[in-house]
Amino acid sequence: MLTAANIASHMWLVGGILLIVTIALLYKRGLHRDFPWFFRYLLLVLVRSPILFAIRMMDSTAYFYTYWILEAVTVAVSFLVIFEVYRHVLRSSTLNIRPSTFFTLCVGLFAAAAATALVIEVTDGPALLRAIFVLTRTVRIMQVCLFVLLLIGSLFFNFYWQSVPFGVALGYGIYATTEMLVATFRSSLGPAGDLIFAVTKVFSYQVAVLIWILYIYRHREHHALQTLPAESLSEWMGPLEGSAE
Amino acid sequence: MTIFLVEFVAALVVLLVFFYGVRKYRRQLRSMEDFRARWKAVDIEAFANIIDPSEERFLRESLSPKDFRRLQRERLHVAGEYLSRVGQNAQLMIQAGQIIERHNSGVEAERARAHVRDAMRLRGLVFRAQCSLAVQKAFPVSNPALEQALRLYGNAAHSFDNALDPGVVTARM
Repeated sequence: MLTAANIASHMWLVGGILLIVTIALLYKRGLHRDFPWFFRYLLLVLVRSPILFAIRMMDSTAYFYTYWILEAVTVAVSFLVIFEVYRHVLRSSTLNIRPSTFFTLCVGLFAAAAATALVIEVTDGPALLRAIFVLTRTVRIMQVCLFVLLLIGSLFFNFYWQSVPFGVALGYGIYATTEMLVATFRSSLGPAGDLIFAVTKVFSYQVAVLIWILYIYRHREHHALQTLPAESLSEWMGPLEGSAE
Repeated sequence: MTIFLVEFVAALVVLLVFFYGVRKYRRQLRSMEDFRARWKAVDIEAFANIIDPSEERFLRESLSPKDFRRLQRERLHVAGEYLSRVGQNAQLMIQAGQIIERHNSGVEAERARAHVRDAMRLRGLVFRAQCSLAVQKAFPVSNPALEQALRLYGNAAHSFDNALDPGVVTARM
């Protein structure tokens, strides 16, 4: 019989397999050298579940602390992945971003996101649990805002995106947005919303991983614009010659 | 429930940004032919004439206020069209420069990088001029932002010509 727990565990299993495919594809195409933090992030997410499962069998208190420590590490690494995406997209622009600039941006966003999360949070419950919810929500808002800021900049300037950074931004952005939305829905419903939250969270993450697989697969190192024919330049530069003189 | 609705709308806006992002990504430059097909011709002289303050002064003095307002509206509409084309060309320049910078090294990469910087500055100026134009449509006056954008467009187009000098590209090939 299919119960909620069964569905969730099956989905986690599928998620694990998809993660292995993503890691293998990234490694096979040599992209782990260009995107080291994304590669480490995927490895971390992959090994996290079995570790937590093993600890849960032994000690529930140890599981609680290990879970939140690993969650904090995953969040930290996810911000490094976002920084990696920023660097790839803004590499040759005047907005060339340094770690200190990115850190400042994150601090600014953290303040705004924390204020928003505090306003949104409506769940009554233990203080620790509420603090965790607010912090998780803050992180998600920050992640979504970082991707949205980069996308708005890209729409305005028409930045060039390679396949992998775009796939990472799209997949993670969709996942974080969905999770944020469902978390609010759960807050409104109370404990009844837990199942919807758990299933949607896992499902949206799998969609994100599928997006990553697709964009890693489509990644090409070479671009046709590199071999532009010289005689064609005069055609489009012609109308500008008068103004340049 | 109100909070949920607000967040739902915010999430929809975010997803809309991602949707436009995907559309833009799928329409990235593929080749030089693609670049040429998207390039919008801009008659710089006609544009300069449209935004020339002395031309505007002349029209203001020669025409009746009613005729001047009608003509000025048309002139501003045409100026807006030109600005839109220059903006799109600046965007094309940015992407082409980034692609060339990414897939080349040395002098070509450095030139492409400098060109991207110029094109980005131009894009910003075009945006400023577009905002200024919107205000001017409501209150017709001469527009220094438009003139500055025009001057920069000429410079950026020239520097792009140098960055993609046929000699340099064929030598590399």
